[in-house]
Amino acid sequence: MIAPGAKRFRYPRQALHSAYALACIGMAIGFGPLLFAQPAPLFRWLLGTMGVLFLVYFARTVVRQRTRIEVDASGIGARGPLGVVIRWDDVRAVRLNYYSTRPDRSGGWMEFIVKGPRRSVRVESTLDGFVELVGETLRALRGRGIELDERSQANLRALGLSG
Amino acid sequence: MLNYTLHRILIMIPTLLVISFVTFVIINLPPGDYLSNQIQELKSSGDTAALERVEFMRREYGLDRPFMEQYAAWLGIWPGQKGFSGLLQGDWGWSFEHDLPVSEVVGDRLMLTFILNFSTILFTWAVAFPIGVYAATNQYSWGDHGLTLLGYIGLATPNFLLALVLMYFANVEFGLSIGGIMDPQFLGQPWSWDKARSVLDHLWIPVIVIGTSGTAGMIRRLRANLLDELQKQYVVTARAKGMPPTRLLLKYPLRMALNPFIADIGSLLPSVISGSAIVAVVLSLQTSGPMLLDALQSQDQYLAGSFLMFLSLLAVIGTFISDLLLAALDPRIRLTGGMAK
Repeated sequence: MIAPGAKRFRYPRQALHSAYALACIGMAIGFGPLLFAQPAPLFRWLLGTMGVLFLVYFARTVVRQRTRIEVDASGIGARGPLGVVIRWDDVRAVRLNYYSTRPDRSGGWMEFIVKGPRRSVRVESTLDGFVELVGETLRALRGRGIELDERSQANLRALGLSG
Repeated sequence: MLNYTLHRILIMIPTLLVISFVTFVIINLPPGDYLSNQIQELKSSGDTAALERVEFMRREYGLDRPFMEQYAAWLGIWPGQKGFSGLLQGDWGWSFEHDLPVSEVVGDRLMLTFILNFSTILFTWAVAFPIGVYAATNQYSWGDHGLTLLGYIGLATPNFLLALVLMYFANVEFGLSIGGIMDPQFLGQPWSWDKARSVLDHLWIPVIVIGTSGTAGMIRRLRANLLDELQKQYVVTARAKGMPPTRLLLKYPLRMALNPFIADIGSLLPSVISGSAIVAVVLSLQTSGPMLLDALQSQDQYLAGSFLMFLSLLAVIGTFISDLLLAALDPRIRLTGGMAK
């Protein structure tokens, strides 16, 4: 589906290492007390759920490490485990969200979502060439009747791209 | 969102640890402890049997151990006399003043406080929401001016003063005693329909007293936020395209203006349990606020510490929930902030 001349994007090693570290810390805090401190049932559930969430995050990071995002004239795809390809004509919606854990909302990250008929391609701004990928996608979707919501447009302007 | 949720969870953990440490330091700051004070009293009365019992309790609860060990055992991450037995294991400790487990001392009061403050939150939202929307959509009308004036009066009146005024008028004008959260004969009794009805009969006064200032503040914020949204370009465009006013209002501006309601969840959760200690004292309410004050005054460290820690946990969970909801509702960059990779 994706042509040989496609542009390819990958998550940088440093971002992946940070994600692995985050997952390991989370699993240690979640599963650690379960192993040696015999918490009360409520805390057992809370800590267990937290540990499982970080385990899922660890698995997702492994998938990300083995995935590359590709864009060409026919569509956008994630090549690797759980891969997906969406043709430009099949794109249902595009979103660009911004998240920050700080009260002044600085130092956050963006998430770019291209929704297809059944599945979506989700990319975070830690990806190498994220702005280029967003720009390429928007160029390809121009004139195909995809409207961006107000939030995505505001986030696009912050990236230096116009909706 | 998964990434965001996990980042927020990882921020919660050190936050809770710092809060727990600060709480433990603060409740240990005054010289001595509850048992030291007891020993002084018992020595002066010459009661040696009781003195031995107090010494036993000091060893049992690890009060003779180093500070950090006491802290870790209290949290439940370090074994004490009874193995791992702290907050993490659901053991809130022993209330020296009441001579009962903390969970038993707190039990009924937590439920009453929850009922009172949850009703107050419902009252605040139910009153503030329609008034705020009306004031914003009818800006500078007589209704808006009148409600604004009422809002300022509500904000400026201290809760305890309103409580005193209402108590006075209810007593002098109607011959009603409105103190307490239920009739005295139901105090300490198991829950029954009569007890529940008595609580409902008494509930409206504290709900109005505690809820007034919050309602006024919420009206002001909702009005300001909604006015801000209504003047934005997308609303003007939708209006120009002929979108019906009610649909336009409900579809976007109102959703955006809900942000302060959601952001308030963070502070609402702990207030559901602790809220309005002073009003509770004035109105003689059997809620947890006065109990916390007593525990702090008498250095009943496990009761005060466990209770403060529980409130902090609720505050952190509330902030976590409101942050998740806000991120889902409005994942938009603020142009004053930066964006890192």
